[in-house]
Amino acid sequence: MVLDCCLHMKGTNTGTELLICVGLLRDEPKLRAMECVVQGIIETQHVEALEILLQGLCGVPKERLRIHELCLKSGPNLGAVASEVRLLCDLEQPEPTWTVRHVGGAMRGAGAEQISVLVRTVVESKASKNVLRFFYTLGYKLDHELLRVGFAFHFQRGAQITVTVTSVNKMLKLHATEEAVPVTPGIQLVEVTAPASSDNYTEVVAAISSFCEYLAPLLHLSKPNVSAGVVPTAAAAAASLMSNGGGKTL
Amino acid sequence: MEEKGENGGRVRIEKGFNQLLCRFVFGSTTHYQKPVNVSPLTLACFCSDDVLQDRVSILPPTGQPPPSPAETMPLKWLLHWQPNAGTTVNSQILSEVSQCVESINGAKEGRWKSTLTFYRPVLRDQTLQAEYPRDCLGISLQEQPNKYYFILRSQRIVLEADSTIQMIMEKLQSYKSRVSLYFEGFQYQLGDFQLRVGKVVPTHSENLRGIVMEVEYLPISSLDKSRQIMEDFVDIWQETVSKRSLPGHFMHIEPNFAEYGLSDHYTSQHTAVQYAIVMAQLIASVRN
Repeated sequence: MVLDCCLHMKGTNTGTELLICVGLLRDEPKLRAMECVVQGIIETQHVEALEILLQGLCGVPKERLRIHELCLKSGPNLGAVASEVRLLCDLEQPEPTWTVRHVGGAMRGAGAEQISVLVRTVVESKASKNVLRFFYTLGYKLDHELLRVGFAFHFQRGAQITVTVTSVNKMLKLHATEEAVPVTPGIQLVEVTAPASSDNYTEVVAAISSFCEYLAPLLHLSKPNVSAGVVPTAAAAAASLMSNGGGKTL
Repeated sequence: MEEKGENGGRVRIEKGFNQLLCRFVFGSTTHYQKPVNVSPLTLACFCSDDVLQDRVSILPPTGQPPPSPAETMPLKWLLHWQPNAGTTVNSQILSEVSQCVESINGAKEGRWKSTLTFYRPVLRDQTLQAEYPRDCLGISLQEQPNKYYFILRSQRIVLEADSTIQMIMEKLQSYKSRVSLYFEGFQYQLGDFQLRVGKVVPTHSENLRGIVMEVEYLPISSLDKSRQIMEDFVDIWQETVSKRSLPGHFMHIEPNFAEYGLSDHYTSQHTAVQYAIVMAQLIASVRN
C-alpha cells in the first residue's frame, strides 16, 4: 500500500502556511482490480427477444453458460472476521474448469451514491479442479450453491462489456446439478459487467450506462440489490423484436 | 535404414513427422538424445554435414507423431544439501558446488529464483489449531511466472492457480503469510540437462538456510522412463562432488506423487511438491 503525500509550502501575507495533501491509499504496483456491474430481471418468455436485441447490438455470437457456483464461508473460528469466496465451475467446457472469485466491498461515498452503476473490487483466479477440497481443508464451509444456465455476450463498446442472461437454479441435493430447479421460475437474471481500475472506472461506468439505455424497453438495469422489477413495456418491446426478426433497433 | 557414426549418433525420420535425434557423449559411457522437429530440408542439410555424418543415422519411420509442446514439459529432480552431523551449510559449500558444475562443462546461463511462503491460519481460538492445516505452503516457481501453488503436505494436496490467488488470500484474511524464503542462484546448461544450483535464504536476510539443486532432463516428461537416466546422472554428480571432500552430500527424496493425485507425466505441480518436501527436510536438518 502506498500513501501518496505531497507537501506544499505556501507563502502569504500572514506568514507561511504548510499544506499537507494526503492522496488516496492505493495498491502498488498494480492498479486495483475492479468491476462495474448492473443487474435486472426479465421474464423468461422475453429472453428470446432480448437475445435478438443483444445479437444485433453486440455483433458477436453468444456463449453458452452453465456455471456451478459454490459460495464458501469461513468457519466460525477462522479469521478475525468472516470471509467469503466463490468457486465457479464452468460445466460448459469439455473438461470443467474452476475459477476462484472474491468480491470485495463496493465503492462508497457521495460520488458512488450518485452513479447508477455499482463499482466494486473483484479478484479472480483460475485454479485446478481440487480447489474445493483445498478450501474445505483450509476451514471453509459450503454456504450455498447455485447453477446458472444461460448465455453471455462479450463485446467492446467503450469498455469490455459482458452481458449475461441466466436462469438461477438451486440444487435439492448436494452438488446435484442435473436436478437443479429455478429459484424464481419464469424469471431470469440479466447482468451487465465490465472490468475496471481505479484509473478508468468513470469511463467504464459511462460505457455501461450508455449501453443500458438500449435495453431499457425490455428491462431496467440498476445496482444489485436495488431491484426495479420487470419493465411494463417489456411485452410490447419483445413482440416488436420478435416480429422484426432482430437486427433492428426498437 | 540405419547408419551409425563413431559416437553412435542416430537420426530418426518418421513419415510425415521429421525428427532429429542426436546422441552425444557425456562422461565416458553415457549417451543422451534430444528430439528436435526439423523440416526435411534441414534434415537433409544435417545429413550432408561432414561433422554430423559421424553422429547421425537414419532409422525406419515409426509413424508416431512428435509430442506437442504441452506434453513435453521436462521433468526435474530437486536435490538438497544434507550437511554431515555436527556441521552446517555455508557459502563455501555453495561455491564449491557451483565450481563442480562448471568443472563438468556446465555452461552458466543466468539467474533463477523461486519463492516459498509459509501461511498460518488466523484463529480466534488458538486451542483449536489442530483442526487446521499445520503447514500451508505457497510457492512461486521461476518456470511458471503467472502461476502460484499451494501445498498442504499433511493432506497431500497441491493446488495450481493463477498468481492472483495470492491477492485473494490476502483479501480473505483467513490465512496470512508469515515467512518467505528465496531459492535462488545460477542455472547451467549441460547437454540435455539443465541444472540450477541455488541457496535458500529468507527474503529479508542473507542467512544461508540451505542449498538446493534442480536437475532437469529436457527430452522426457515421464518420471518412470527417465528414472534410470536421472539416477545415472545423479551418481556421476555425487561422485564429482565427493572429490571435493565437502561436509555433506546431496540427497534426493522422491515424493509419492500419486498421493497428491499426480500422474507419471511431469508438471509444475510435481515441482511444487518437491519443494515442499525439501523444505520439510531443511527444517528437520536445522532442528537436528
